[in-house]
Amino acid sequence: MAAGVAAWLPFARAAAIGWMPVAGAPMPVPPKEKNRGQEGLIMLNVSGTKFQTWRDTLERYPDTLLGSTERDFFFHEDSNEYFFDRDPDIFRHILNFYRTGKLHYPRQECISAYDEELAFFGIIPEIIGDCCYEDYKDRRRENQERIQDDEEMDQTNDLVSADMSFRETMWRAFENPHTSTMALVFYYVTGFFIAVSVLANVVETVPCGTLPNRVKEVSCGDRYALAFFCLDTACVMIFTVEYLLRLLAAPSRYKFVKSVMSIIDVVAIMPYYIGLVMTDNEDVSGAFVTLRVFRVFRIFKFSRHSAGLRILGYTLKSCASELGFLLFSLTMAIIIFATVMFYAEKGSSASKFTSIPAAFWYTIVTMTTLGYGDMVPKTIMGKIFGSICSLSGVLVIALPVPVIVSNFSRIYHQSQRAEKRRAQKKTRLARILAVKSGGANAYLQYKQSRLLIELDEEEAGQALVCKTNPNFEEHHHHLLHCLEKTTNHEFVDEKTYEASCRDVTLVKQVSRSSSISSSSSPHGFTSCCARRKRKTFNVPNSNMSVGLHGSIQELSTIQIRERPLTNSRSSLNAKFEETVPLNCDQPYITAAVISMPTPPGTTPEGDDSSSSTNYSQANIVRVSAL
Amino acid sequence: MGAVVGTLTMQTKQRRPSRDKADDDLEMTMVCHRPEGLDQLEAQTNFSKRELQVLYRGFKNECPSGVVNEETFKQIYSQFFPHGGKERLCVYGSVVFLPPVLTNASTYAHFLFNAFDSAHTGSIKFEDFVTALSILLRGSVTEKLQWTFNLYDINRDGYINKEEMTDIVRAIYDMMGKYTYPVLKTDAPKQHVDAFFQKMDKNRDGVVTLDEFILSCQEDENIMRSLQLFENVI
Repeated sequence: MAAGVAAWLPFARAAAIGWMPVAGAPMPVPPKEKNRGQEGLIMLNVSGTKFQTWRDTLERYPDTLLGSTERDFFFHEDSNEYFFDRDPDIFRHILNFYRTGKLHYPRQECISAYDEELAFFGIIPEIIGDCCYEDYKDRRRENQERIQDDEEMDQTNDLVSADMSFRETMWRAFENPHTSTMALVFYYVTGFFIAVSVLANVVETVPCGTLPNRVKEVSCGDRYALAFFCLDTACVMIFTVEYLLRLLAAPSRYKFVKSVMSIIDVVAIMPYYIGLVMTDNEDVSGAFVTLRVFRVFRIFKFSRHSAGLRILGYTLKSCASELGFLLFSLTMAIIIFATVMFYAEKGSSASKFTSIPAAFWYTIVTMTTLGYGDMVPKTIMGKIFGSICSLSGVLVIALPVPVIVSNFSRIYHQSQRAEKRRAQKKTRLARILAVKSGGANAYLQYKQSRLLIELDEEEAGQALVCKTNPNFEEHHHHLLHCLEKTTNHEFVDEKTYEASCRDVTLVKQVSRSSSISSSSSPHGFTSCCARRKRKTFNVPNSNMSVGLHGSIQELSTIQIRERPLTNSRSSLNAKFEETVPLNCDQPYITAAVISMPTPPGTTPEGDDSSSSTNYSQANIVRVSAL
Repeated sequence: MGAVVGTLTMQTKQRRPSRDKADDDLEMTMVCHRPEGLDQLEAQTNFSKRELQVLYRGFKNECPSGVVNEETFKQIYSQFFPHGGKERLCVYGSVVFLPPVLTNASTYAHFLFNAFDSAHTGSIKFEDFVTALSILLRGSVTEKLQWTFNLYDINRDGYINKEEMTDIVRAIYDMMGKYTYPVLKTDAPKQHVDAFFQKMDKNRDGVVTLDEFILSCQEDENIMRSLQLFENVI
């Protein structure tokens, strides 16, 4: 029931008096009137923008946030209003829904922001009015596709784990050539050989001049038969090896064999082997020649190398119905016009239009505006119908073509967009990482300062730099600390973790010398790894410095110098440096670093390891120990 | 040449009637009626200012132009009885689909409309609306019964005969819709009307006058009680 009509309920109930005399039985008891003292205006404050409406308006929809008692949770007693910390622009539409019963979707709003607001206020999107529903659905679908694309990309990129089997690495190398140099090399080599093979097929047929004892011109293929045969053999070898390798590496062999690309591969190399098998058999040599035609299919192997070709193929597949219609209408027109032309030209002598099928050729050539001129109508009627035929041909062909073109354009742009997003993703991710690491390092600083307090009382006051919003961060850090204690592990830096994974072997070799000089031999930090009541990975600890090759020197200098206080978020590397226990004076270690669950492939942009840090803990620099 | 002129004139001829109709529609929507002042209405009816405000807000929301015509009235009333509609789907040899009838609360709504529109202008203004509601909700028993009698007396001749009553009762049953328990028999309205006349028609002359009606209703406890049901509706 529409909400606006709810206001007319009193009227409907009053009109029920007309039933009373007709009714034979007594009426049921009416519901008790609840205390309606709460009538009146409600003030809704949404992020500072004030909205007012009648209480009844909101209560029209009791299964939403505003219409139910759920809104009491947002009641702000000091100002006697309901406060929502949400977007006022979108709230306007939501409130209008209560007022008019129709929910509209504004075009300029982001679809996910809108969806979130709807979800918050408990309104299902299906209520959106007809005027805006289509638009809403279209935008939603577009957004879903975008998210799906991104997820797929993530999945393909996330497969890089150290423990991938050889088979999996090989398959991955085949599918994404840019992942490793070997794959790239292979990719280009196969591409080159495809080109060579196709070229050889073409050049084979070029006339190459006459042999000394022959009159007729010979084609190059016959003249240099051996050379071409060797070339062909080499190409087919490479293709065969490639196909077998792909077959081996495919996760699902059955699916691979069924795929289009594998069929093309097989068709490309089959003629050669068949030719090998049935040499010099006169009967089947004709068939053998035909088989050679299939060698041209090698050119389709290029579609692995070219995304554009794939898009074209995909477009044709998706436009199958339009193409079918085009074909059908053309066939119809051809038959009609061929019949007409045949009967029109029947009278003229020496007419080329010997039968209707013969007239097909004329019709096709005319409708596609080719006009070879080998078949020309001679009678007047023939010429009239011929001109009608050519005019209609243009029309029939021009009609379905825009549909196919728009399809192609849409798919092409989609793929372009996917490419762009992929390219942008790397930089975006890097920047986001840098920002995130700022937060992570805040925790490390906190730990530093905490240890500082425990260790050196008088420094405590200075150590705890007043950050903005200390309360929240302190609680947050305490929470992370508790987690560390619970699991008996510590948070480490991404770089450290990677380094540790890579150089596991190195670690063991590093001697745990206890050189405590701050000037630093690169191995200086590996020593003194006696943690104070803390168990952590042995590996990361002792390995920290080893992984740090480049920045060791800087690390040492950092130790001594007082770093200026800056508010900028430094890169991951810098964070690492400042948090690594720099001075070996103290017998405990605070070298915990936060490991972040990010795809390891992307290194943050900051290799500017010497850039600013977040705080100026000269004290910490001095005191914290290795 | 003549053909060209002919087609041109034909087009203009066709356009004119439709333009007139569009103009008519425009005029209809531009009609805007404002009710008399709040004080006057308060004096004329038994409602308080606040109640009138609430009523007017609901009224104006549904009918921004200030008047309700019969179509809108029927639509509004039908929304309270969603199952009253019957979709006729005749299959006699060939399949003929008739458009689904708007819930048949429309028949009763039609009678209601006529009862509200006491001046027979074809549209209900806010004053009519409020006057009728005032009687129905805040009026005396006699006034209510009188109003109900007017509702039943479709042709306004002062008597309710069997045909009129059958129409009314059938309209009420139509509001129930198809899915009832027990299943609605076709002669249920007729039986109901017969029972009604048995009770109301004192002198057995086949028609019910206003006095007979009021007298009979006052004798019936159930009816008296049910008249008080909707008093505190606002």
